Amino acid sequence: MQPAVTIRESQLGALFRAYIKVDAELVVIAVGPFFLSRETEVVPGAQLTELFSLRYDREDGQAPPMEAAIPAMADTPERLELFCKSKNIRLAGIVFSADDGFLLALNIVPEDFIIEGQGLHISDFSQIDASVPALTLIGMQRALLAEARQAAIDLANAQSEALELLDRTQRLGSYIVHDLTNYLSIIRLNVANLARSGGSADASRSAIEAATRHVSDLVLSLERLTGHRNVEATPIPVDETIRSNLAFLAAALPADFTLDFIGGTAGAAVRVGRTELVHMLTNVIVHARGAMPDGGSITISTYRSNEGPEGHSKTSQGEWTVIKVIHDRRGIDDEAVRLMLDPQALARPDGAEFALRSMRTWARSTGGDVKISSLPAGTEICIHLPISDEVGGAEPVLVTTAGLAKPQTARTARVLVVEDEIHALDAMIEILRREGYAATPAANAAQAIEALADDDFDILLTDVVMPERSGVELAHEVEARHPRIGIILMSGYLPDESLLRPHWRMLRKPLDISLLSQTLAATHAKLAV
Amino acid sequence: MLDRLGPAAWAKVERETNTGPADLISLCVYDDSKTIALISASATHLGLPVEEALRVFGRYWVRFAELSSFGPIMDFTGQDLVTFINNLDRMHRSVVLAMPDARVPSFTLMEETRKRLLVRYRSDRTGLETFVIGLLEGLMDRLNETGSVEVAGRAGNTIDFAIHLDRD
Repeated sequence: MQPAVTIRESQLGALFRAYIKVDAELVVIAVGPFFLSRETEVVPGAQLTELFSLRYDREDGQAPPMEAAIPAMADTPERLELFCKSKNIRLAGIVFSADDGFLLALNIVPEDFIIEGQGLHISDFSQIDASVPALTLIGMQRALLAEARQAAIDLANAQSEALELLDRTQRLGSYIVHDLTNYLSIIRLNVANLARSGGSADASRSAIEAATRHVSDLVLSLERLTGHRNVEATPIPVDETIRSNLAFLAAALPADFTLDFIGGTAGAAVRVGRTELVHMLTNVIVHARGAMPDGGSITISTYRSNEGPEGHSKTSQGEWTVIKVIHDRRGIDDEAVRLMLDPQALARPDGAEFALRSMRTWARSTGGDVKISSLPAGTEICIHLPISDEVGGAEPVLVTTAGLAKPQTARTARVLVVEDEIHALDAMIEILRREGYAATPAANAAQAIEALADDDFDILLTDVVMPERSGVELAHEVEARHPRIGIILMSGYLPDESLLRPHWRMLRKPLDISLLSQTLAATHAKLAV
Repeated sequence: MLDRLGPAAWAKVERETNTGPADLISLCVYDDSKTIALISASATHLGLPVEEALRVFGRYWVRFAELSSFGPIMDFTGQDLVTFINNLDRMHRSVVLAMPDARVPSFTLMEETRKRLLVRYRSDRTGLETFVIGLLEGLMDRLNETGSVEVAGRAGNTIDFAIHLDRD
């Protein structure tokens, strides 16, 4: 009788990847591609009963030997399951009788629906085997879960970093408020002194100018912090910086104090902001002032040391600069010192410990540290800063208004000054008039437009950030109507450059009066040409 | 981009292409224009022509998939070049079950000699030719083969790629 279907070896392999042909004695005659593609013991000549154990679908639990089971299952729909004795491989299928024995039409049954570790490939399964999409889908699901788990961890880390950043920003904000308050206090103290002296106290004038310069630098630090500017601190010489700011530091103290400085670092430079160093020392001095109601003496000394702060290894060369501040009144006990520097302890923004803790945060950010010790009579504050190899630049020379070049103009220039801060507007009008300009005030853009309708002006000097209409919008409108007018903008921040005309001049706030003077003169001179 | 230029540069690319954090999630299908926009923006930052960036991206994609949680699926697809290419369509058919909107390509091994494979690529997407070259190069990296890939012919939406293998 002719077989109903003729099937080729290759087709057999495509349908039953793990087929096995055996003779009547169950000796292997031929095997499918699953065995051919890997090294196994299932090769022609091998005895099937030695390689596999048997299980088939019967409910009585009595498994007959393979030699009897396979002939009995031939050409029936009964499912044959073979278990490899040496490897974790399971095969399943049905049995056909053949001329020379039996064809076991088998496929791989995955031991587990997890891809990893089974050593199986897609091509181990027949084209119609549902195991492939099942295994792939489970693999994708597992990958997705792993990714979701990682995303959750990343999110938790990001949240923790954001909270820490927020905490640091809040602390930093408090420190800045505290430092600004100190500078304001210095300015107020010296303004009072200046008023009493009838304007002849040069030291107070210098102190006020230095304080405003430091506040300005503080703003620069804030800009750096908020990403408005990317400025890296250049190394500064420690002794020179302290010496040149000594008068300013002394201005924070009433008359019954003495402040001495002994510099011994022999030109060592540290990579910190000049202003940061000065205002940290200011904080220490203001703190000392609070501890000495009856006055006293404060000494700042500097020296090089091989010994770093606690937790740093000793070095062979003097790689640390130590700034020591000692005052001779009322010592503080160790517990108070510990609480002063403990970041977990609560600190009032107006309390002395607040200033010292901000100093330690700053010192640590530079790679150094701060230590406070109580002396038998007084307190010692030791600031360790790592010495930078590079040499810092020269201390800037304080420019006084007396040294500024007066504007050289052919005739009195008419300047329209627009500023919404009324005190700043008044001060600027007064300064410009003193310098010989015909200055007209306007408190906003609308007033400026009105003034321009009534009078002619040579220069528009306008603030940028103002309510209702900005200085940039005003400048565009004014220039459209009065093309010959000179435009000078003033701002604490650089406005969007795409909105500015290249020939406009820009002054940075807080204003440097000499620069304002020079800019006005240059603008007027250009108009005259 | 992240590996080469860091998170700041990638954040810039996301801003430039209006890509939000929820736009690029595994197993979510997103438009080709988004892929091309991301690669174009990345190419600018990497200082590469777009075509070259596509190739680098394709090559990198294989490495990324292998190192990520998708590694087992790559292993399941095949551990040698011929097996892998022969199984790609079956793997893609399974992927479509999970991502019904995915437009997966088809790869057929047309010719196979010891030193040369000819692979026919069919896709209704265009403009990804150099990306596919990168993918095939990435596969060679993964399966410890060296050689080169070139376009051997084009017809309609099919491209034949010849893989020349450095074998003795």
